[in-house]
Amino acid sequence: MQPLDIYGTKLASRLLLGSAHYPSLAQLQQAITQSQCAALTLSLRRQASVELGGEYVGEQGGEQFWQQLKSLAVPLLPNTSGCHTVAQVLNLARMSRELFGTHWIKLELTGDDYNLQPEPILLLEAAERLLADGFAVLPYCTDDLVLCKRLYQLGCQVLMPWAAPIGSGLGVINPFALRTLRERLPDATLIVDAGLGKPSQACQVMEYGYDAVLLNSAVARAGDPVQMACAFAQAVNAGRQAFLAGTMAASDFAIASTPLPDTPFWLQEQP
Amino acid sequence: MSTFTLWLNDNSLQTAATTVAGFIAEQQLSGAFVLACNGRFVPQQHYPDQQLQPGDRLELLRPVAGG
Repeated sequence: MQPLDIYGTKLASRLLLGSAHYPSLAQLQQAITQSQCAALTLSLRRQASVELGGEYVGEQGGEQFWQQLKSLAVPLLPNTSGCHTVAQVLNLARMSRELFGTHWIKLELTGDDYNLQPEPILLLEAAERLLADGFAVLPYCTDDLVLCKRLYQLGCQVLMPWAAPIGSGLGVINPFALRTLRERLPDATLIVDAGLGKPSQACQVMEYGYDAVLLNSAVARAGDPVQMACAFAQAVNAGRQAFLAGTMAASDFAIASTPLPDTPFWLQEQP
Repeated sequence: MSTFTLWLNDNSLQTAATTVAGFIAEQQLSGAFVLACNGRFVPQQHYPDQQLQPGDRLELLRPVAGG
């Protein structure tokens, strides 16, 4: 199967995972290895207890978290989560590039704290400045066609529209918009990011022709995150195969599967 | 040796260090981290040259889980 293309990097898997909210670091590691995900998102934050001479509490960060993720050798996609201005994005992206050793950046720029909806106007400015600074920018955006066209025209080869607000698990709230994006931007790498809750929903967007899916909460908050990661990997593959195979045209009326000619006479009697 | 006050992740500290590199050594900061001074990223190659002034605000960030 044709690999996923992220700014020239070819990846066999079309499933990207987030690293947050797993019940344990061990389950995160197993989800990564067993799903064979293409990349993993992560972030940068203060860790006050460490700087004050203490140990990091929990498994969502700290040196052990970082060393274990590094040992897995999965491509890393740092995000700019929590940023509300272009200046914040630029700072965090540059810090991520140095620490994580990648020029990939998942551009997040929040415009609404309730929906965590991206700020579309600042997103364009941030994307332009990051691209000029040598980043491979993967903007997290809404499914707005005009915004996505502008981002693509700026040079964002990969776009990551939401299916629904982050962490909602609502699935695709606007199928028309996502299908339209795929049809109107046939050469862009489109990754559905955020809002999916079930493998069937991942399969749905892959059937539309999306190139990949990025998930966090749907896996990490499942009863069994490792099993769910594998279920999503299979659903993504199924959807991709279905897209490549070409689905049949839907019809408003029945079309018999069994041939009608030479039907036995006793079946031709109407009740 | 004279000391002055600066801020590390909103916590005030007394330091005698005059550069970021000196501060890192003085505070024995280790592991994977990146720094910003007064809201601006300080690349690692600039640690020896980045001067510290009283009242400077340092932000030290480390890897965490994220979506």
